[in-house]
Amino acid sequence: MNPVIGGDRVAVTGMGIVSSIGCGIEDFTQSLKQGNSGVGKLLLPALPDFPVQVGALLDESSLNFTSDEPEGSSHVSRAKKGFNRLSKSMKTTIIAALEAWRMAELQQKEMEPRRIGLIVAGSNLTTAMLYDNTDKFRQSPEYTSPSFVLQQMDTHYVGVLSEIFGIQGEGFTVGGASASGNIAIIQAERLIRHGYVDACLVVGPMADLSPMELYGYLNMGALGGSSFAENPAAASRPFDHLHEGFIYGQASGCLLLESRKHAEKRGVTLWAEIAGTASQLDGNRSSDPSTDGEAHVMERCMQQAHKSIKEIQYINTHGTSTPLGDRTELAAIRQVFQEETSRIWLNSTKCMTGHCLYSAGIIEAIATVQQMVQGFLHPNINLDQPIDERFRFTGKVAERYQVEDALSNSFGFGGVNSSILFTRG
Amino acid sequence: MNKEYVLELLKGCITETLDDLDINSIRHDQYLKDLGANSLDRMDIILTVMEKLEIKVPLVEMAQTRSIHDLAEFLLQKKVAVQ
Repeated sequence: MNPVIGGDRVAVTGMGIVSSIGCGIEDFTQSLKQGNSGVGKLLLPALPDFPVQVGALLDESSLNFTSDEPEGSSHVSRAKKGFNRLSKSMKTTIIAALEAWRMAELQQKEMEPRRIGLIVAGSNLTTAMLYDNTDKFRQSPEYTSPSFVLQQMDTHYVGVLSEIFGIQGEGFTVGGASASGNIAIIQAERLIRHGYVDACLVVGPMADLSPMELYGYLNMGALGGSSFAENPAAASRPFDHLHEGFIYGQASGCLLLESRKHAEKRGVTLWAEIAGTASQLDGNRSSDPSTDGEAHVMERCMQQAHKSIKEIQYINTHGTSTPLGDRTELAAIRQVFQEETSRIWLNSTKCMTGHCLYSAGIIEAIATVQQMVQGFLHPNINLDQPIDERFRFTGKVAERYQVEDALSNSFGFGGVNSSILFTRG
Repeated sequence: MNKEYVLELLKGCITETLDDLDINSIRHDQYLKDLGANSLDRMDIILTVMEKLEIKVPLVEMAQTRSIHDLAEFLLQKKVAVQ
């Protein structure tokens, strides 16, 4: 049974992104249209012989404020405070959040600070920082910086962003492994719909993995790319016969969600609406996905939105490029949509961005909304030979197509399933 | 190593932590608090300068409030003592 939902409808009024295929919504969208890959060389100084040498990483040029950021505004000057000392993940999160704030016109059309919430997607966001400081700590624990203690907490993102934007409503972090981004959006949608806040900033900080975690993913059989050292752009290939695992991607993204009524009162553009959400556990501690769990969230999501199978035109898949994950998701889509799978368009943003893990749901929500806003579907750039021919995958170039109703899937280790139904604003 | 060296090192550590501060605006009779350093900033600055000087001073000894000048003098004494 679906819970009684009621309450105010929730819209996307702002978006911001720093990704390996573009900094800022405009560049990112352009790359989606052109099918640009962000995957390049991955060199781990601590592990020069690591078998996987490909990744979609953010380079240093991503760490600057965009030139059109208005100088002198109070939140920009607060963002610049101590900026150079922050981690790459925090810097890019701030840049993405500033863009979403600007897009939602919150600078000009302000809100009551206690009516804005803040949700940060992901857990263990700063493991690389811990890893990098371990040797130094072993040698001289006396020099451990007190600010390090604050910085290594996931909730530091809540503190920093709430200070920059003067947010005083409810704020917290949520974890759901690779589904964290979707889980964060789902929680924000509920806070708004039930009236706890009028708007909520939802951020997905870049996952800054330590070499130790990358090695674990490799040994688990989840990390791919070993065969693509010479051709990194071909490494992330969801649903293709040659897929061999996910490619590590870095991107920070941000959405500003707002009640429809409130956004209309402020007179700002509604880019898309969240018409339905669903999240469900498999009851499983392992990394194995479940066809039933994935199918169930897609079904519940449509029920909540009062949408039928026939109305869904497009699914932004979780599509990680892992053989088991890709196969399971297609089986789940087939279970739900049956013969309709020959009509519903599918793509995976991860073929260009790599798998951005905790922020993936946010990055792919942005990709879904932008495709609806601009009337196109991005390509599956590395899909040469689909593992199953009964589906309608986008090809090697973008399609002109107007989507009105789309699902965005995210699934995480530990049996976390989630799906969100977006409709055009 | 002399006091001037320690002063410059200290001022470098101050502007590393308080990165919007102009190094030339720091006066030696000022306290870290006067420069806008909160308690965490002050501890970060002191630990960084101790690390650069390769000295380990118990934090209770550092707790006493000192001007930039006096802090540099104190650190220099500690450095000389370990050499």
